Amino acid sequence: MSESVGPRAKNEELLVRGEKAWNALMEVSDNPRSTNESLILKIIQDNKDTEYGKAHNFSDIHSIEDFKRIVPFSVFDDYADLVFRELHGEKDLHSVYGVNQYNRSSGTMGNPKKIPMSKTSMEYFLDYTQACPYSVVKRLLGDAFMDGKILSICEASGISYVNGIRYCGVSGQMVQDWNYQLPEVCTAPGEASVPEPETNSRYLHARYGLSEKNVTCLDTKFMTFVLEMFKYISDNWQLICDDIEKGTIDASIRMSDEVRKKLESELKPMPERAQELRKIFEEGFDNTIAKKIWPDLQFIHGVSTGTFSAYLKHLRDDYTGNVPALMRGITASEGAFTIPFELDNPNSIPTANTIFFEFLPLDEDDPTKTLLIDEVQEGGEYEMIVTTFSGLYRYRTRDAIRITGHYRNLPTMEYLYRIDQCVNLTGEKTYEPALRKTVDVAAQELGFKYTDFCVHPDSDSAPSKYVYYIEVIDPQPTLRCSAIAEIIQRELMVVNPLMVTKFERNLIGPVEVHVLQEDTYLLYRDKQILMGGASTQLKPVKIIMNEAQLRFFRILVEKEVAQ
Amino acid sequence: MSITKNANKLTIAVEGKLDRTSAPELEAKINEVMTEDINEVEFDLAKAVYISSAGLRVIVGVQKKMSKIEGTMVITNIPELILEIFTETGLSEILTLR
Repeated sequence: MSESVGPRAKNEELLVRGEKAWNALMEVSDNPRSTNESLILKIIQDNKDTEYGKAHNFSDIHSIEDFKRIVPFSVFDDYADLVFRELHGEKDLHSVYGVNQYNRSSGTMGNPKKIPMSKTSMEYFLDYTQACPYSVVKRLLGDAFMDGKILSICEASGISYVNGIRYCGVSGQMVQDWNYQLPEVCTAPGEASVPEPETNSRYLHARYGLSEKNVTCLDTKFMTFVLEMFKYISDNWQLICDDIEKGTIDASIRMSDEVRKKLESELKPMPERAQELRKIFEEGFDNTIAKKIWPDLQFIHGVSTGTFSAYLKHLRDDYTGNVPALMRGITASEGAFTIPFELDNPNSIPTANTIFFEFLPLDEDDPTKTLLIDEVQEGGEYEMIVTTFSGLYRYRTRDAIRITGHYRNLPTMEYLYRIDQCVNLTGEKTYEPALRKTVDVAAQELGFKYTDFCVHPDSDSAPSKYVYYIEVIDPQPTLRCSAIAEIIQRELMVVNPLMVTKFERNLIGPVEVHVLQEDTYLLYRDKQILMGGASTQLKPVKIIMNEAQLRFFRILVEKEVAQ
Repeated sequence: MSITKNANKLTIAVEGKLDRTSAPELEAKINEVMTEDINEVEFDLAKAVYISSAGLRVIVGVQKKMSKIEGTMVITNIPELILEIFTETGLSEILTLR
């Protein structure tokens, strides 16, 4: 049996890979246009004899101008038939790079899809989402984090195989491919990161994470998961401490006999750590608790931009205080589009050496009007269009970004919203960040905290109106929905000036607000999981898109908060 | 609230309000008696008057556990007002109501 080499040795290996990926991007950062141009011409040349390449005359493409003129924009449906045929054994239909895996999309805009990803693209994905953060954090915080372990809540779940090719969410693929399960690096065993369906992995993440004092990083896909872990600890710390003390797993914790037997055979009683934790928890939970549990905690890593920014704020207010966050860049089932370059900075830079980028000004639809990586303007808002090493060409991501500046010559960008997700009752188009801003201002002015919120664009009433559903944390008896609505209405006119005339002319009626019962958002998530959704893929509802969602939130309104 | 265990079956009788105050208490009680051999659960709501999101999460949590081991869970004697909550939330489509 080999001896454990400790976290630093393994972390060094990951750092080497991260440094290599970071340096490769920095090498092209002085002239990203040149690299991006070479990359697209290579992809086109490589794939000119595929069915897609022939259908779109790739052999006639010798420049970016040709590419933009000849190849149309695409969406997943343009590949659906090719993917179906690939699944039945045909090859080189749209990509000569092969299919390493099918990534299940989150289904934000509809049914889950099978997005093909090549081995090359997956390697880039791992380089930039998992290894590169090592390099970035080392540069910004030093390398002390490498002496500790990662409490990773990333999980691979819902894995299935289609004709021998793995099919699950891209984050699940990442966890399986990544050697995070190694005990030298991560707190939780493989039984938690790649759990059997019956395993209570939430307990395992919390229990193993708490046992280890030397945690330097909390790693997750979405920040919501870290928040949920702290809530779980808050509700169950006595049971967990008892287990840590005795080196057991309480009988009430579900898992197969086989998993329980294996884990219990490896656990050792840790009475001193249990006592230390009990003392911390008995003092109560506040925003210093994370640093009390793990004094060497250096940073938190996860998606915390866009929809998830409210969760990071909640996490900091209640559990982690000023522990820095390395926000994940813009990633999707199609690839890792951007990566972070600073702590606590929602901006990120494009992986210009692995993906060909175009930027389509919002409200523009002409495929020839895209801008290239060196042509975008600071302050400009665009849809990202990508061409990848997985056979996606001029693929519309439907992600809106804003250019915020430059890092070397790479544009820095901020994720704004999903283009298809906005409230548009009378042509006003109010996007999710603007809606969030209105709730943030109301929360600040009235002194309440909230878990999350959604908006129902109510077009059945006359006139149409915005109906907000907000899950307020511990609402005070003095809180009135009408007071929240008044502030939100005022702020809607600030964040979207078109709303001024809409309200003045009564084209849109007064804002209505309802407070949701606490735990409603968690219940919605539980329900989706019970219906077969993968926990790592679920995103909170922001704009109510259908009758089922409306009925769900409407019935769970907290009646004790007065209108 | 009362919980009775009979062989492999748990019967959980909910009384009064199952809300954010009482839900953690009930969840802890269920966890105490939910041993490996339990593969059948009944929630009897005859004396329940109200269930909030937090209470629904306890029920959904038990259903998740039962689903994982291919056990069964039923909810019985549901008062009309509570039935409306199950229907409107869509939980009636994924839980067994009798």
